[in-house]
Amino acid sequence: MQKPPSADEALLSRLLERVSHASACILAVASITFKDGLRKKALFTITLFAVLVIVSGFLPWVRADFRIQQLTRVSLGGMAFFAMVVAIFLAAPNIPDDISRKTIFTVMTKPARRWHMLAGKVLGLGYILAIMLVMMGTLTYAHIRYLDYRMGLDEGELPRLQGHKRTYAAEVEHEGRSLQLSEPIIESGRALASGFERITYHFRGLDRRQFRGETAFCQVVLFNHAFSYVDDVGTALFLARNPSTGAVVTEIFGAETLQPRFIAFPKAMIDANGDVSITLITRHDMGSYSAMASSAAVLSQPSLYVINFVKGLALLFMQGMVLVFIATAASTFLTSTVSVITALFVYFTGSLTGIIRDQALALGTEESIFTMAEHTHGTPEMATGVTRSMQMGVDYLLRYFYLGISIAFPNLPAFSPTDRMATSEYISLGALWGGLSYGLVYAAIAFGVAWAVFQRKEVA
Amino acid sequence: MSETVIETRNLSKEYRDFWGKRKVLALDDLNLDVYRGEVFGYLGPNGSGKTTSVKLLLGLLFPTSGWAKVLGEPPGSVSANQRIGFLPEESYLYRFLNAEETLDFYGRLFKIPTRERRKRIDRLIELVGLEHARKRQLKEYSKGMARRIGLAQALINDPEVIFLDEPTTGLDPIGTREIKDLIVSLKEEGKTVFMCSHLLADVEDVCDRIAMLFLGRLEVIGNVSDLLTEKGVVSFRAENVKPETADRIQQALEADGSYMGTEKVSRSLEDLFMKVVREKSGAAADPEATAKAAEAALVAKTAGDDESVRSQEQESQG
Repeated sequence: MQKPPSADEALLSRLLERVSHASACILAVASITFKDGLRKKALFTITLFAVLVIVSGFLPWVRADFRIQQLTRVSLGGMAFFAMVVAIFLAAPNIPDDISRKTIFTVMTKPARRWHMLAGKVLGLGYILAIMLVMMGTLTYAHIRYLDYRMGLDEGELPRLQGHKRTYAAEVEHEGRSLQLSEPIIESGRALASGFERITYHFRGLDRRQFRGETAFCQVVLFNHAFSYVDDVGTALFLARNPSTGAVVTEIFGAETLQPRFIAFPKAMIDANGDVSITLITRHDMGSYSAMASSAAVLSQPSLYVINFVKGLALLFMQGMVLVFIATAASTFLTSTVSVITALFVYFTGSLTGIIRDQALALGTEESIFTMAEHTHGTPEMATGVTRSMQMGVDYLLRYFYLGISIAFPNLPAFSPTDRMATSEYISLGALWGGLSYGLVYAAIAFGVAWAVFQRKEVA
Repeated sequence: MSETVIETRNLSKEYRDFWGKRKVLALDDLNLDVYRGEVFGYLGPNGSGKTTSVKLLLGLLFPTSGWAKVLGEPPGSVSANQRIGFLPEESYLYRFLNAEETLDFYGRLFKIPTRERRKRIDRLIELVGLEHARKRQLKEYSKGMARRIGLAQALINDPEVIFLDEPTTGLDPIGTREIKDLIVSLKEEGKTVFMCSHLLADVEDVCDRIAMLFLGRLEVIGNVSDLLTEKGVVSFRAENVKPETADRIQQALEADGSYMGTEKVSRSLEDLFMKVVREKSGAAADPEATAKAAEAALVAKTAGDDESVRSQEQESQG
C-alpha cells in the first residue's frame, strides 16, 4: 500500500505546484506583452540605432586614437537612450491600455494572480530590451572590430580592445620626483630650459595569481602642465625593475596628454612579494618649465574586450529594467501619460543623484557657509551672527532633503558603462554585481509598490 | 435542491469620488442564489447594476458591504477562477492575436498541458464555427466572429460556471440560434450558466430562472415559466371559424362535459420587463412609492401563483 504523503511532502508539492502555475502564467503574459511590443514596432529602434552608428562614422576624425573611444561613446550613449525610451514608453501604457481596452477582464478572470500579470508584463518588456540591446551591441561591436582592423594596432595599444583587470597594489609609494634641467637660455627676456623628469612608483603586494600569462601591463597617463592644450607630450622612457633581483626592462614610448598608454613588461619583473618598481622618465622640451605629471597602474593579464563589452551591456539592460519597473509601478495608479512623465522625471533626476549627493554632503559645513557668503554677499565676514545661524539651519534642512532625494532616486550613472568602456576601463565582476544588485533593489521596491497598489485595484 | 454555486448576501457596491463622497449606489443589498445546472438570466435596464454585480462576482470589483461566493470560494480567487468561464459584454481580446493564439494564451493561464490545449483549441474553434478564420488576426474579425472567439475563450477550461454578458449581441439570427443551442447543450452537460442579456427573447428561450434588477435593487426573481404565465386566462385558437360556429362553441363551452383543447396564454418576457421598468420609473422619485409600486406590481403579477415566484421586499432605506 502506498504511504500517504507527510505534511512536509504535501507542503512541498503544493509549493512546487504554485511555482509551476506562477511561471506558466507569467510566461504566458510575457509572451503577449512581447508580441504587443513587436506589434508596436519597438524593435524599429534598432534601425534608428544603425543609422546613428553609421552617421557617427562620418563625424570628424578627431584623432585616430580617439576613434574607438568616440564610437564607443556614441554607440553606448545611443543604446542607453533607446533602451530608456523603449522601457518608459512601452511600460507606462502597458497596464492602463489593458484596462482601457478591457482586455484585462478576460485575463483577471482566469486563474492568474495579479502579481503574475505584473511580473509577466515586466518580463515581456525585458525580452524586448534584451533583444534590442543584443542586436545593437552586436552592431556596435562589429563596427568597433572593423575600425580596429582598418586602423591597425601598434604594440602600445595592445590592450585597447582587450580590456584589462586593474590590480592596484596594496601600497604605492613615490620615490621622489627629480627634475634635471639643462642650463637655461635667455630668449626674449624669458628663461628656457629642457631636461628630464624622473618619477618612480613602488607597487607593493600585487597579487601574482592574477597575472596568469607571462606579461603584465602598466597603464601610464602623462600630463604636461605647461602645454595642456598640446596633445603631444613627447617621448618618455618606461623602466620596470624587480626590487629583489634588480633586473630591469625599459621601453621608450610616445605619449599624449591624458591618453592612457599600455606598456607590456615581463611578469618576472614582479618579485615573489608582489613588488615592482616602475620609473617614468619624461623629456621636457625646451620651454617646458612646468613639471610633467604622471600616473601609473599595474594591470594583470588582459581580458577579452568582448567580455567587458558584454558586462557593459548587462549594466545597460539593468538600467532599462529599473525604468521598466518604475514606469510599471507608476502606471498602476496613474494614467499612461502621467506615468511616462513620472518615469522620465525619475530618469533625469536619477542621472543627477551623484551630483545631488555630493552637494548635499557639502551643505551645512563651515566651508559651504563660507563659499555661500562669498558668493552671495561678496565677503565671508557678512556671514556672521543670526544670518550665519539661519544659513546653517537652512543648509541642514536642505542637506537632508537632498540626501533623501539622492537615496530615493536610483543613481543611474552607477549602471552606465559608457565612460568606463570608452576609456577601456575594465568592468570588474565586483562592479558588475554591484550595479546589478543595486538595480535589483530598486526594481524590487518598484515591484512591491506596483503589487501593493494593483492587488487592491478595482477594474471597472 | 441542488447545490448553490453562486451566492450573495447583502451585497452592495457604492462608487465614491476622489474625496470619498458617494457618487452612486450601484448595487443595493443583493441576495442571490444560483443553483448548479441551471441557466440563470440576469436582466435589467442600462445602469441597473447588472454589470457591477457580475464584476463583483468575478472579483474585478470589491464590495462595499456584504459578500459573495462563487463555487464556495471568494470571487476572483485562483480556485474560483479555475472553474469559471467569462464572456464579457464585448469580446475584449488582444486584437493582434489570431484565434489559435488567443485560445492558446488563455489555455496557458490555466496551465493546460500543450497537447491537451491543442486538442481543446481545435474542438472549440470547430464548436464556434471559426475553422476558416483560425489564423486571422482578431482585428479582422466581424463583431459576430469576435463574439464566437470570445465564447470559445470562456470555455477553454471546461468551466463549471459560465458568465455570459450579452452572448448573442452582434450575431445574426443563425448565429444567435447556434449560441442558444450551445447554452442549452452546456446545461445538458450539467454546467451552470449565468447570463446577462438585453435580448429578452433569448433569455426567455434558454433560461430556467431569471432575476430583474432596477436601480441597483433586485425586483423580481423566479422561474421563467411561472413569471410569464397569466393565471386564470385561457385562450382558444381555431381557423376559418364562422360566427355561428363560434356561437356553438360558446354554447358548447357552457354545456358541460365536452372536451376542448386549450392553451395557456403567456405574455412575452418583454411585456413583463417593460411593465416592471415603467412602474419603477414612474415611482422612482419617491422610494416609498417605489417600494409600494413594486409590491403592487408583483402582487398583481403573481396573484394566485405558486411560491416559486416571490416578491422581494423593498426597503426604502439604504
